[in-house]
Amino acid sequence: MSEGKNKTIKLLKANIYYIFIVIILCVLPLFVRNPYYAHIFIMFFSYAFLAMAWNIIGGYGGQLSLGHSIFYGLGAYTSTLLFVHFDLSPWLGMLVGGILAISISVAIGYPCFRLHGPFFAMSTLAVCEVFRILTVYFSDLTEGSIGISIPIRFGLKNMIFEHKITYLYIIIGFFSLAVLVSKLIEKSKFGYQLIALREDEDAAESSGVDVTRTKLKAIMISAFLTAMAGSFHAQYALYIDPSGEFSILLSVLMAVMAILGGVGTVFGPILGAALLVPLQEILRGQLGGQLHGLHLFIYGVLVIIVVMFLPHGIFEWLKGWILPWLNKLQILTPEMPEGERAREDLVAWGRAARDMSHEDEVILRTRDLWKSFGGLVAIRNLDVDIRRGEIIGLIGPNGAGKTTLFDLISGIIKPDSGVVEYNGSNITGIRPAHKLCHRGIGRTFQIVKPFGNITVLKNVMVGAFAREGAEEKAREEALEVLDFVGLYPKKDNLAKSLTIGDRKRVELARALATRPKLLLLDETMAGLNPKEIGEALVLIQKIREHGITVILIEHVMHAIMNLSDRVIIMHHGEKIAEGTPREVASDERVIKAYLGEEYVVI
Amino acid sequence: MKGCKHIQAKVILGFFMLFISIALMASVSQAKEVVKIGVLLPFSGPLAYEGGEVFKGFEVARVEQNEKGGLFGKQIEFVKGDAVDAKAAVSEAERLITVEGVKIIMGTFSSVRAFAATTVAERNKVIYWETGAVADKITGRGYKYVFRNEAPASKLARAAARFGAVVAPEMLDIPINQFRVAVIGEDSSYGKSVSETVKTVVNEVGAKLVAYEFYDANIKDLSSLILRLKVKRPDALIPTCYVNDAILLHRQMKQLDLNVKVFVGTGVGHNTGKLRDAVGDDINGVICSGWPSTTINPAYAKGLPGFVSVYKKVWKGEIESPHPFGNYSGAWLLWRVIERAGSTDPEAIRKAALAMDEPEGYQPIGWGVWFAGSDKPNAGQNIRPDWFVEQWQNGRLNTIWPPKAMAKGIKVMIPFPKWKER
Amino acid sequence: MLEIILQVAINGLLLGGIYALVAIGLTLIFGVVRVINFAQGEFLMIGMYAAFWLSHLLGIDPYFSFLIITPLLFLVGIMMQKVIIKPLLNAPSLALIFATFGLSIALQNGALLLWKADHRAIQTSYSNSVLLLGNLIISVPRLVIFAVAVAIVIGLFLFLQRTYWGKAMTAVAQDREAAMLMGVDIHKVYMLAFGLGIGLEALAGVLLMPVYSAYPTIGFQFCIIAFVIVVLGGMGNIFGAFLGGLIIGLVEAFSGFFISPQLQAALYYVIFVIVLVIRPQGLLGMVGAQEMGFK
Repeated sequence: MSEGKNKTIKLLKANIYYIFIVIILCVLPLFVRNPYYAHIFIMFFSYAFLAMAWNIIGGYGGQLSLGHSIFYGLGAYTSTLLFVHFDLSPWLGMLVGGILAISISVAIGYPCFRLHGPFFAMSTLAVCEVFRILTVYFSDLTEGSIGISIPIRFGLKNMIFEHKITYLYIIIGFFSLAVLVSKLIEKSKFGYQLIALREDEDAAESSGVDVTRTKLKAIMISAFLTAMAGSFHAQYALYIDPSGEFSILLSVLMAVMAILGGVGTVFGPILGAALLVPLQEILRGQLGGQLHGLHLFIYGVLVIIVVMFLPHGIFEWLKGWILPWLNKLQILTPEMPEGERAREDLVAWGRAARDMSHEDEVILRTRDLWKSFGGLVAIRNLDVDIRRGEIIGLIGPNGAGKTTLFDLISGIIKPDSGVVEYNGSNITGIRPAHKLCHRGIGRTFQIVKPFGNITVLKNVMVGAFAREGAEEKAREEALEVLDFVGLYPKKDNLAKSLTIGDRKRVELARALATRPKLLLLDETMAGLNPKEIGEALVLIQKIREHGITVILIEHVMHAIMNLSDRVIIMHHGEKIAEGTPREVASDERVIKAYLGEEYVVI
Repeated sequence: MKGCKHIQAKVILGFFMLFISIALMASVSQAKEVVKIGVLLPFSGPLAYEGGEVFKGFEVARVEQNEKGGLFGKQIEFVKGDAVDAKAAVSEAERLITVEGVKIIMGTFSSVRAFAATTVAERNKVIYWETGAVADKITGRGYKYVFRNEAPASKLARAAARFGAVVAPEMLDIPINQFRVAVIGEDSSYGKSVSETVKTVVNEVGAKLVAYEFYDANIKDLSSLILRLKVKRPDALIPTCYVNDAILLHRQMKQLDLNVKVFVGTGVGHNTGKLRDAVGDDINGVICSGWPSTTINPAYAKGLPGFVSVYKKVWKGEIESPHPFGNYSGAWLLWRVIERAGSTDPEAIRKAALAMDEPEGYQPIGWGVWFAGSDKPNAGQNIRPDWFVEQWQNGRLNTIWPPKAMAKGIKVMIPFPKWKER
Repeated sequence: MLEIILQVAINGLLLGGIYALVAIGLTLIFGVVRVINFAQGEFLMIGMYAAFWLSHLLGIDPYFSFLIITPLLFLVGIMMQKVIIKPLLNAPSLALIFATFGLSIALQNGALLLWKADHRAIQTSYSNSVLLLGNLIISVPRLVIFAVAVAIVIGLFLFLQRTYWGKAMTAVAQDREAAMLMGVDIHKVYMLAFGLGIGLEALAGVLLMPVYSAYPTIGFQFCIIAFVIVVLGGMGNIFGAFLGGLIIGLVEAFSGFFISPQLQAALYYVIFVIVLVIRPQGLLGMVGAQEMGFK
């Protein structure tokens, strides 16, 4: 009993400031006497809500959508038409609108998510314009450009109120919902995966993130929330029309607010709205339309400045100087030290490989593998057998096809013909990469791809999430792996602030956290100094001791010769030699390929 | 990590404190010895020109009345709201009502903006006095506090259609069932609502409707549309345009040599000097329903001379468009209603407006007054006015309908001269 | 009827020439610098306003004032590259998008502040001139634009093929690293590309004045069409931009004639999305071009 009480008290203490805020939010509307200020607050909370909704796909997901008004308009028109024609309560109409928005978001997202950056942005804009034009065109259904005037029938069921206070409470409720959703996302596996794909899609795929699905989930949530706002506004303004609901300006503002405040944070969009709304209302009110466009001009300039000097948004920048100041005043409660890391031999992440003891000898096999790019043959007639627990060195000159082989095995590309067998099953052509990750194939990349803007720990947690569902478990796993690779002290550093050697370790740790049975390391030692190379050698051997099979692409000869059980030499896409390091070093063809004819010693 | 959480929370707390303090600042409006009337017009944005013209008319009415002692001995003061677009119209209406505390709002020229803003007024039981927006739906909702002086779009359409589909075939000696009429319009509520009624009238009188097309107001190239029309060989063209598309239409019709025997525009696009400035003499022959210009017969519009002299005093320039006079008449009427109401209390104004019953000739522009009650389908509409019809002749806009409003010596010119013969 | 269809086709081609001219600057900048300039349309708008004011205040005809305006905007393009683009080249790609985006908003509303939303038009003696080809009517100012577009495409092609800087630009477009290794000054090339891209855009604006009216958001509206064309023709491909422009012009003219003027715009948006999804490299572009530079 008292344990339950203790827990509750702890929970309360930890979130005391949030409780304060909730109380203030509940009480705030009562203080707002003047209806005009109520209106400004309603605008603020609405815009903040919209910016947060956008942030889910645009900020956390990194997909710059400039057509979010599609969902807003869908919500507004759906609930309004249902209300006006069928007297359906807008509360329900809002849900219907939200579901419609979800469906449309999938229909748009699925084809358009293949596009990156500005192309995705422009396509969302184009689709939004199409919706606007169609809404005007099908005026029999939508009343077209004259818009729909909603009959003034007060009542809770109708979501139409005489006094603004009620609207304010409702929008504060929505606002809180958005905050809650954002916070939940941040802490969830979904959130980590979403951020990972924003940072680097390929690396995320290879770390077990189903990129397409994750993006779709994100846009679905975002669309639903945005549609809710559309319905709310319809019942607030009691008037909707195509240009107002499917407005490019609104789409743009949603994005800009989040960008200014700080994408990918919970409070960034709120801050962005807090800047915009007063600016807009005050400028309009005071200048009475004299300087129309001034607030947007200021906004545009702010965006440029923020992007150039405060790339993480104003919120992070504010945090940057408030934090030290508060430190000085010793207002912060001291952090509690984490418990000692348990040093176990058989850690969870290594167990997977060990558990394979009764399985096949051959873990990876390719037969007659071919791959061409345009006219260039990259992989030619390749047969490879890798036994469980081996360390295989894969060497050859640049362009030999080594990385292509990795790509074929790990699901990044498909072979033209031939077979790839892993662990007894045929995995030929299986894509995308996250599927192979889940089967136990992990990899690192030639050009190291950590998720730069998040901490080392979070990087590795993304990998852990390939196997775990809960944040706590993923964190534990990640900490263990970090300890194993020796990065524990730097766990809270941002990945992009690390040296090249450490970044490679992060990538390695991330791959290990996915509990691979087969690990593909692509030029891990490139760019490392001799000491680091030595450390890497030790690490890889420890990895093998955990039962993981390792294939290494390397150019650092002495390292790979020392480390590998067997070595495979590739040249022009073919395997030209295979055997123990000693055997291969004296092979004529190898010497010819690497050093030239002259060096062959008969 | 934990510290970060607290930081976030504190920053937000700080902002909320800020907001609360703003919220607690109540705006205090001093009670002055003036009558404050809200004016909601598009002062900026795409309709800024027209909004400005309407305001000129309002201002003339205000100055004129103030010179006579204002209302109840207090001077009239305008409080402006900028209806850039429909959403802004709503916001501004809110501001005028709740911050400025006005009990009456005048406006708004644009149907879309008026449609949106009148809802705000109705909810807050504030009088909305519309003097220029034409969409029928504005007075089709049973609202109690919304009044519109000018005739709605349907009458604008009928006036145009009357000329285009009835008078013209008669003057040209073509049997009406063989008379080919093309109706086009920009696709906003203005263009759509007017064109719909034109189409109805054309069908009613038995003429042949050979085209019924809409285009986006921002369109850059009407050549496809014009070629589509050319195939149909229309005798009459009845377009509903704003200024910019009217200019584009005229230029491209000339370029592509689309000739019609009668060209009847409706309001806005075709009855301002802007079109004449852009196309010069090519404007001659264009017929247009809508506000009359200052060439209207002063025997009909008795308020014209007075208006012109005050306008010159206030604005120190020539009258550029027909908007000032028409909207001035609406404003003038409002002063009369307020006087009869005895105060600016919305309930009293309502009663006084509904009680008014004045014959043709009462208003400066020549219209009578009788407002439909809130139980009627067109609640708040002044049913006595009907739209005028003008024609551009020698670079001037002359009133040609009603016959009583035609100045001496003015005749109707049909057919519309061919492009190549100009 | 055949005559009418031919007329529609001619109008479509002339419109296509306009669109092509507008799209060339965008595709050039993308091809070389690998940056999508969201603010590209605003420079068209600035070119239009510049031509308007020079005509309105000083009476200079656009067919002359372009000699002043184009070089001026060329310099502006160089400045833009130096001040905004260069510092952000190594930042994540989203940063560049946001930056040009912010610039677009700032410029649009700056114009709104300065010059209001009224449409500004100029009347020239040739605004309404037409050439007659039998019964076919060809608008002179539009024909001029078409001719200029063709001239620019040919001129650029020769520039890229025959001159040092042109070849340098082509090299950078194909492989940035290799070009650097060959001793090409990348940043000079970028500045040149931006200068040309912006300057050409402004030129397009100037030439458009006899035909259209200027208002603050006209750049944005053309920009969307320019995007459609650039994607359709293939990013970075000058001929692709021309071809794409003609196609879109014809589509617009014919759909406006056969279907409905209202749905004209919707149609090319739909084409845009379809092309992006099915054949992202466009008609003449390199496979994977749309992927490059955005990771």
